[in-house]
Amino acid sequence: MKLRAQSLGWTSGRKTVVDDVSLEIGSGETFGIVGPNGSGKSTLLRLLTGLLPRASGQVYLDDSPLTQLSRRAIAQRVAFVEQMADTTEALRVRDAVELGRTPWLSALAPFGPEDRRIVNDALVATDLVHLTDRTWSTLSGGERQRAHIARAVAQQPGLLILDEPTNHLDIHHQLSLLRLVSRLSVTVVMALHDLNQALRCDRLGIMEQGRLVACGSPAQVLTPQRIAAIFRVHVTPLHDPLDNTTLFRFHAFEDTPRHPFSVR
Amino acid sequence: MTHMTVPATRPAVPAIIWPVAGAVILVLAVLGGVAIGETALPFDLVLKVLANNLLGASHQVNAIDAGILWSYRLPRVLVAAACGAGLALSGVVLQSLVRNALADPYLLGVSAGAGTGAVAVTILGLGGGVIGMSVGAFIGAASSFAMVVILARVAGGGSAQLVLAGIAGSQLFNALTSFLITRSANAEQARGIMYWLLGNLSGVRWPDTALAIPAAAIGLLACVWHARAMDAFSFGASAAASLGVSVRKVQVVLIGATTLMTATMVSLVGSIGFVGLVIPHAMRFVVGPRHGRLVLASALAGAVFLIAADIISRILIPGRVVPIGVVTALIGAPGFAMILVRNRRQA
Ligand SMILES: Nc1ncnc2c1ncn2[C@@H]1O[C@H](COP(=O)(O)OP(=O)(O)OP(=O)(O)O)[C@@H](O)[C@H]1O
Ligand SMILES: [Mg+2]
Repeated sequence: MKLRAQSLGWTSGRKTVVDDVSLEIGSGETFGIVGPNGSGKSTLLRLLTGLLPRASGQVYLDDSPLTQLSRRAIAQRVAFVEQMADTTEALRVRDAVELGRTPWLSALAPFGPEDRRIVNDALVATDLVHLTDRTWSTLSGGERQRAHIARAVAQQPGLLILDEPTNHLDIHHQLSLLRLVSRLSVTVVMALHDLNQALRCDRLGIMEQGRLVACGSPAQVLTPQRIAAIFRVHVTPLHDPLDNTTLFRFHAFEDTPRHPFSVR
Repeated sequence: MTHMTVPATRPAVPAIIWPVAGAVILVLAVLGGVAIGETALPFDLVLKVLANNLLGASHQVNAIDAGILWSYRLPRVLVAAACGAGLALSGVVLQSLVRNALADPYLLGVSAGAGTGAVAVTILGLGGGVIGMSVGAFIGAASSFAMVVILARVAGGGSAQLVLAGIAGSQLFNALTSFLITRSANAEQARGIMYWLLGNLSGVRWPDTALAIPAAAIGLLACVWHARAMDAFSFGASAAASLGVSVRKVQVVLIGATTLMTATMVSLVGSIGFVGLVIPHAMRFVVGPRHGRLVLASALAGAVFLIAADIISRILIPGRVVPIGVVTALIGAPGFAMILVRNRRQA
C-alpha cells in the first residue's frame, strides 16, 4: 500500500506541533521516523492514520484521500500501534489480539474459523503462544507491547504504523520484531529512537521541532554532522565485519569536546 | 518458536445452550415473582391463570387470586425484569464508553436528572401522564449526563474527575428535585414523590409494561449490535477509532439508548441504585469482559436480580412494602465495596 502525505500540519493552541510535512512512501517500503523527544513523531503518525481532529493537509492511501474513507475502511488498510495504550479490563491476550479483527467483522459477518486462524498466526509470529490465556494486568511491559503488535498484525493491514515498537522489548524480541516487520509484505512506518535500528530501514525521515528536516536512505540522512546537530551527541561510525554493516557509537558532547565530527 | 502451535480454545458446550438456559432462568424468575408475595399463590394456580389469559384456557380459579396475579403481580414482575435489564445494560455501556469501573447511571447523576425531569413534569403539570413523565425524565437525564461529562472534561477528564462530577451532578439534581417539591407540592404529593423516588414498584400496572419492555428491548438491541464496538473501547476511544469504530456514532447511539432506558425506568419506578454498577461487575467475573457475552449475561442477571429484590421488598417486613431502592442498596452497597477492593488489588 502506497502512502502520500501533503503538507500535513497540526497545531495545539499557539504551538505548531507538526509543520508542513510532505512524504511519499512506496508499497512494501519500511520507513523509519527518528527525532528527539517532542519533535512531533507520534503526532505525525496519528495524522497519517487520520485520528487527529483539526488537521491540515491531506493523506492519500493508494491515491484515495483519507478524508473520504470511513473509519472502518481505513482500519481495513491501516493498523496503528500507539506508544501507550492500556486497559483495566481483565482481557486475555487472545481477546486483545482478536480486537484486530474488528474492522473485518460485522453483525452479519461474525468471528469465524478464518479469523481464528489469523489470530493464531499473529500469536505465533509474536511469540505469545504461551501467554494466550493470561490477563492483561498480569503481563509485563514488553509482553503488552507484543500483544499490541500481534493485534496490529491480525488486522491484516496494507500499512502498519508503529510508534516506538521496540519499546520495552528485550534485545531478542527487538530483533525478532524488526525481522517480523521486514518480512511482512506490508508498508511500514515506524517511529524509532534507536538510531542503529533506524539504519536498517529502507528510508528514514528526521523530525525536528515539528518539521521533517531530512528524508532519504539511512546512509544519506544519518550523517555524523546531522546527528550532532539534531540529537546533540557525537557519533563514531563502526564497522561490523560479520555482515559488513556500519553502526554507531554515541558520545556525550561533554565527554568528547574534541570529537572529529564536532560541529561546534 | 518454530514448531509452536496455539492450544485450542476450551471445548465449549454447544453455544445454543446459553440462550436457552437464560430464557429458562428468566421464565422461572418471573413465575417465582408472580407466585411469591404477601399472599403466596400456589404454582399450579399461577400456571392456570396464565393459561387462561394467554392461551384462552378456561380453568376454574378464584377470581380474587386471579385478579391479584394477572393485574398486579405479573405486570409488576415484568416491569421489574425490564428495569433490571435496562439498568444493568446502562451500567455496561457507561463503564465501557467512559472506561471507568465506577460508571453507572446512578453514580453519574443520570438517575437524579431523570428524577428531576419526572418530578418537574408531575408537579408543574407540564403534560401529564406516564408518557409526559418519561419525556421529562429523558430530558432531565440527558441534561444531567451532559453536564457531568462536560464538567469532568473541563476538570481534566480523568477517572476520578468523572466520579466527582457525577457526585456534583447527583447532588445538584437531587437538590433541584427537593426544591421543586418544597416549592410546589402539597404534603401528600410530597410524601408520594419521596416514596416513589426511593424506588417503588407498587403502582405498576399493565400500561407501564408497554413502556418498560420496549425501552429495555431497544437498549438490548443497541448493545448487542454494538458489542464488538464496546470491546474495541477497551484500550480507549482513539484505539477504538483506529480499529474502525465510528466513535462518535457509537457514543451517540449507546448513550442515547442508556439515557432512554434510565429515564424510562426512573419515570416508572423511581430511582434504583447499584443495579447498573454491581451486576455488570459480577457478570464480568462469570463470563469475562467481552461484550458479546457480557451484554446478554448482564441483561439477564439484572432482570433476575430486580425480580428477586422486588420479592424481598414485598416479604421482608410482613404487611409493608420496603422501597425496592432500599433493598438494592442493602445488597448493592456491600457489592460495591467488594468491587472497590478488587480494583485496588488489580491496580
Ligand atoms: N494534544 C496536545 N496538546 C498540546 N501539545 C501537544 C499535544 N500532543 C503533543 N503535544 C506536544 O507536541 C510535541 C510533539 O509531541 P509528540 O508526542 O508528537 O512527540 P514525539 O516526537 O512523539 O516525542 P517522544 O519521542 O517523546 O515520543 C510535544 O512537545 C508535545 O508536548
Ligand atoms: Mg512519541
